[in-house]
Amino acid sequence: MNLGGGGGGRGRAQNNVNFGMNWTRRSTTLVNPFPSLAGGNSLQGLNATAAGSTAADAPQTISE
Amino acid sequence: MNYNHNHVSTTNLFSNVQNVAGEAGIGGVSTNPFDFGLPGISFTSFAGLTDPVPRRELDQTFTFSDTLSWSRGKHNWRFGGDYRRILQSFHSAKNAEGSFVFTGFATSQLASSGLPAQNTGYDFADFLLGLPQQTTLQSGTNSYNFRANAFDVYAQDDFRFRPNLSFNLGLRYEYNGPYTEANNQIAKPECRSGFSGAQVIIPAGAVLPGSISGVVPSSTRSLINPDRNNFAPRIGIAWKPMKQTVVRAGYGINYNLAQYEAIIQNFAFQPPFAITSTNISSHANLLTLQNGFPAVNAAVTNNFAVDPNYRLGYVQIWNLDIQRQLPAAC
Repeated sequence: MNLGGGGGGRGRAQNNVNFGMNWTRRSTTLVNPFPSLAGGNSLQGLNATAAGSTAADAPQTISE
Repeated sequence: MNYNHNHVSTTNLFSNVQNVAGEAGIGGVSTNPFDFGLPGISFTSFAGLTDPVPRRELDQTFTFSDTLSWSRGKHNWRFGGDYRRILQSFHSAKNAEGSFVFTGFATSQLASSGLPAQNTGYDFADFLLGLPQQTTLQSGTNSYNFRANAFDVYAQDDFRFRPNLSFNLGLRYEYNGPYTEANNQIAKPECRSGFSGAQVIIPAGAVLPGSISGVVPSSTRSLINPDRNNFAPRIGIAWKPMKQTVVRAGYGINYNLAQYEAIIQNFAFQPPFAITSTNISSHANLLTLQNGFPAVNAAVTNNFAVDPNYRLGYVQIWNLDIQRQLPAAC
């Protein structure tokens, strides 16, 4: 998700805020060859990110 | 800002379901339902039998990072850093249901010395008789909560010195704190001064499981002094001496930041918080399947130690690359 901020343009700041979330779930049945025995394995993962950025143009010199 | 969370669970067919070892009459092993499973069985001349070790683990990492970019003239600067709070919690017993080793010891002929003669016994026959030559078992603490802090800062400059020559210069500082255990249930052996004996080092504030002598509290909860001088410089050069030739070179240092995790895994499951006992059978006192783990009194085999001033390893990497564009084929 991106909450785009200020617009562009010379000398104006640009702000951006990003949010991200990833959720995963995995379940595995272990069917091992002999001599290992059977079992199970499960994994549940969550990755959440929040990031922001600000960019400012350098002051411009305009000559006529 | 980032949060990462992983919950991993491994089970066998019997964990929290059936006390298969107890029902088979095997005594002295863990009766915690989480640890239920078949004991390990190994032979001299056959492949052994192993059961997955039940384990529940929760890994969490909180990361805060920031970066600043700044361009001025021929320089493009980048400054940044991040902080990480690392939490690892797990519940697992490496060998709570025990392991049996069958070598043919019980069915071998006895030599005149009274000891088993070589190559006269059969390991599978010992197994059928239920007479192991050796047993091992781990008991004690099996839940751990590891904690660590880490941060790094860096500065980097892309410097375009001339149109055909540019430099990339950077310096990074890494701090990886050694892991601690939330309940101070880690330990390591250490030699006394002058090699006059050995003592067990534990974190100050640790609560011992009973009255135990020969234990010395450490000034650091991690049992290792942090390595605070991990500076990692970087330099890169790109040079175009002629139209179709480019020369690139670079040098950098990288630290092995994962080593503390391996160390704390070994500081866990150590005496006095956990004990691995090894029992050896003899003809005068035979071990059996039912009585394979008489008591936690035999030789302790988990004795991992590390220099308290351990320094993280690092690698230096350099490269030189010359690229020449060949003329097109006719």
